Amino acid sequence: MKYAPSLPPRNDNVTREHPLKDFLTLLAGLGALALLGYFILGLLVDAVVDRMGPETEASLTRIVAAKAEPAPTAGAEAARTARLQQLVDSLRACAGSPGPATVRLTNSSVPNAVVVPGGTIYVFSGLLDHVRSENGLAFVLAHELAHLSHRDHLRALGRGLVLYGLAALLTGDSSALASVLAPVQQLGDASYSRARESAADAMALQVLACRYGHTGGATEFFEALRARDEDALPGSHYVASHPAMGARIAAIQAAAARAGMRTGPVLPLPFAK
Amino acid sequence: MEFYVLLLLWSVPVVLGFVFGQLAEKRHYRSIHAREKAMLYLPTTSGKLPIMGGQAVRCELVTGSVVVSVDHFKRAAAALRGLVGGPVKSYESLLDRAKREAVLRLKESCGSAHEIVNLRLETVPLSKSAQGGIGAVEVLAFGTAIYVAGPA
Repeated sequence: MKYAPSLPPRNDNVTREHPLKDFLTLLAGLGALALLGYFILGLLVDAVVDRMGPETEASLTRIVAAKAEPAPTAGAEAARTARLQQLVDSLRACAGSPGPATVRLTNSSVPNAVVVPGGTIYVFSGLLDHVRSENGLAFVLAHELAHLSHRDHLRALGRGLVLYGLAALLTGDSSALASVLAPVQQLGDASYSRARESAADAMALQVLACRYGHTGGATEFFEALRARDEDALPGSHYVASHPAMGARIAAIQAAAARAGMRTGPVLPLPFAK
Repeated sequence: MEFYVLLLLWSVPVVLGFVFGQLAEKRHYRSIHAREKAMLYLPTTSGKLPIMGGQAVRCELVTGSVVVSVDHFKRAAAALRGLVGGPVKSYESLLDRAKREAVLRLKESCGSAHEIVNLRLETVPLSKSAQGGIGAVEVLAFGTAIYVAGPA
């Protein structure tokens, strides 16, 4: 047989599909599975966190607990921190807190307060400019205590583990898994589930009613934030398109009305601004 | 928040790998097709015996080798495929290119030979154990070039 040089008409060893087709099909399918897995495992985390005993809670909390900064020893800030601490201590019994809570005052114009695992509540000094009464301040602190009582840091930890575990499985990169155990995880920040915030608001309302006998001042902080937003961008439609504060105020008022809680005279702030 | 950073860290190399990897692959295939046509005059077989006849005056070992890197897109596609199993299509073109390039280099190294027999291919994965390494593959082609007396 005579050898005749020629090239094969086509190459069956290499797919003729577009390279993105295989990739996107797999990504979409596995992504949908991962979302479903995240949803189901998230519910499982909630179920486990709800059912675990106080010893398990304490030992898990120790893993993620952040050590509080040392308290200021002198000056106006020390006095204010001490007054805030007294206020938190007076709320703890009503909040059913699992352990002691430490208050630290942080210099920041942002009106906010956050609680970190281990029970340290960081009050930003900007918060104090947005409340007029002890009751208003107590509601915000009770909200942070509620996060602790609800074990929201363990829910965040569990969901974080699920999320990063799924991400590591999908991308083959497990380097980010370690960051789940990073000590400071802010629980009060906006990215955390709205449902957990609403639950904390509801509990804070009960704590307020338990501590003062009425719910006066509960919506004080959110109303101040809403007023600030309106100042920043005039026009009532702005509030309508950003109903977060309005919705929270409405939810708190509805919950108070449902429980038959009454408002009453609020106490002045326990220290000068 | 950190999750989005993680997602970004993962997707940037994948997008870069796709854009530059596909460009490089298209260019490489254009080169392969042209050079395969040009080297068609040199018969190359895997058999032990020459097929062209003639009196052999010289024969020598010839080699051609190439190292081709995986890109992050191909690796990501393969990693996803690894979760469910099935043909790893993203690596098919990579190995196809490497094998054809190695044979082309072998043929180009002995352009005046009459024919090449005993062609063999070896594939070696590189940097397989390096943590976070992207990995590459070496393909070595080797065979026996046969030179005959008189005009080929």
